[in-house]
Amino acid sequence: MVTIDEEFDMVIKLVLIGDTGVGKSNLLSRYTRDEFNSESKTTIGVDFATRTIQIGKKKMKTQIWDTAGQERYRAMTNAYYRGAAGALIVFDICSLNSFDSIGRWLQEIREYGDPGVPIVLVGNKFDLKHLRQVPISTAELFAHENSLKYIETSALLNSNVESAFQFLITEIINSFSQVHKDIQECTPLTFEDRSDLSFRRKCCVIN
Amino acid sequence: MANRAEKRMVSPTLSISYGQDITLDNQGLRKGNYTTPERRREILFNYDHGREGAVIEAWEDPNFDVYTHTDRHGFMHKRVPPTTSAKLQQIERERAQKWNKMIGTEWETKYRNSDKLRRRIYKGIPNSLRGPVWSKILALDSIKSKDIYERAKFLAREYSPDLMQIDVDVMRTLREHVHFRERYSSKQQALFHVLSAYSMFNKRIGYCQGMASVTGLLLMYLREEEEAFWALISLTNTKYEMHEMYTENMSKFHIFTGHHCLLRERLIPKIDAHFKKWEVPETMYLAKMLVQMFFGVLPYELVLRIWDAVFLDGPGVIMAASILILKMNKKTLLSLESNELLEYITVMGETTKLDHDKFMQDLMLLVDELIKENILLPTEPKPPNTYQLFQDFKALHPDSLQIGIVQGPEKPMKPPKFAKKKNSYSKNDTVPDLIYNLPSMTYGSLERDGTLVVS
Repeated sequence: MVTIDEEFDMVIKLVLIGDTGVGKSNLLSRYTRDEFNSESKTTIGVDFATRTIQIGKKKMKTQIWDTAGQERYRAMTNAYYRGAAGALIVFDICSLNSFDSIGRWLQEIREYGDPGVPIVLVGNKFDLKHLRQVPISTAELFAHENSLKYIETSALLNSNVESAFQFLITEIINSFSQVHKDIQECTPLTFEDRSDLSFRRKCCVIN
Repeated sequence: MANRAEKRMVSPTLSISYGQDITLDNQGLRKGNYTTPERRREILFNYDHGREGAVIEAWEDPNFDVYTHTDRHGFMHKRVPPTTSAKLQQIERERAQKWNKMIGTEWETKYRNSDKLRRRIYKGIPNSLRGPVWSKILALDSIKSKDIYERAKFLAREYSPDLMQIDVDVMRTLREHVHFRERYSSKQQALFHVLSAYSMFNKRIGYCQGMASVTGLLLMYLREEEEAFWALISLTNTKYEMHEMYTENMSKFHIFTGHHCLLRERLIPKIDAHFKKWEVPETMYLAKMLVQMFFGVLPYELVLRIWDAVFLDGPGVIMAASILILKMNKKTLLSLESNELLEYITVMGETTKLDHDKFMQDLMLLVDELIKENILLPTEPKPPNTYQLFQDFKALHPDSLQIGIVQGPEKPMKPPKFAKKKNSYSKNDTVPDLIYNLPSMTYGSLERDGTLVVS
């Protein structure tokens, strides 16, 4: 869901999906609060966080839903795919299992999400090099075959986390601006630092 | 019963054990969410050897530095936690005497189903006696059965498909508690053992995320890990109806969510309309309330007190409490909109300065009110009872186990006096889909290289 707003130029909803234990919650906390939690808890159901970003002259509120990874929670979590403007599918580069599940997650988002929703494939935990099970080339090939962007991140080292989200948001805006010409003025896309944006505003989503 | 089980055992379709959804890719690697043999060996090795011998990655073992204070429950804090007042401690000491008397010889005859017990439960069980009292109200002595736990725990080593998931979750359960802080600490070992044994005992559930926290809390109060195992069985048994909360389809979660919405519409219509207007998804706040029985939503001490009440009065208490929390936050909830509303909902349990005694008083009143109107719980089919699970387990492992059900077929626990719904089972109800096809096993331990050392 991308909505034009009076105070925010846009409100967008994103979802984080992928197998259990791949680091979705820590990617979220790194992105929204710049925190990494070594005592991260199992996500039960869904978690929610927001962050305001500025792109060019546009202010944007990102609303991110972090979901439980265990299979049996899918009936609960896939309700959140509807209306999502984009999705990050996350796997753990040290877990072949989590990579093998990507196909199922893709299927899931295509079934329950809006048609043509932009997706970025994220290989997390690249700091654990010595435990790597999924070669970069394999992941890139898979992403290419499925027309996804691929990026490797480390929530622990705070590497590429910003970029992963920016990748996704850029894609969303690009596809959105083809429909709504007025947004084009904010291209080329430049992302500004979060520190300028530590304000909270009342926000109203207009559908 | 035996015949049916026997038939199941010889049926060729039963050779599937757990690997039915496993496919191999062209390199012969296993696909799907399954514990690979190598990973299984590593996991078992680590839990067998504990802190002294396990291979611990640096990131698995957060240090203690960030915390400077520990509260009386063992949780660590960055700031000085509120201390228990001298007055409350005095009250607890006085109460402990009364409680000791209640759970003594006259428990069955005089107190078990008494109004006095109920009143006192809602007033709060003294923390020092919480374990023994839970054990009594969950009727653990009547369902405990010799050897089952050890047997299930042992079989799980070789056959539970959930070890990997359990391991991942043990690593991130209650890490802010001193006993669970260290990777492969004895409490982490116990948690792993109980969950893996349960996943073997009840294949309908196996392991569901959320059970780790519940079991972790049980382990803090019950004396031994075996007690926690039986408590988990009791909770997923007839009275508590938590069984379908954790099964593959989590049907109870969805049924309870629906019921919560009905209650919300009826009891707090303004909040209900406000939530609908802003399209607040119920599951965003209900997941932890229902699956973890409020753990992670409310302050720890209040969670314990709600558990006290749930163990006595059943899952209707969870329904009532889910409404009560919204009600207590009414003013703030109605004043917020959109993202701010959603943000507040995720922390509403933590931010509310709740008077725990008042909350429990109101909770008891609300439970009574809902019972009176006969809307405490949704009407729906019941889960299988422990007796059936026992029978299946016994039938499938006949050679090595002399399972004696202590009191014969399980007597359904007496429902609370006020319950209008009938909790009865017949042995002919649907038999759970517990399918094992296991070779006979000897006890022993697995070494890291996969050799089995028979003890």
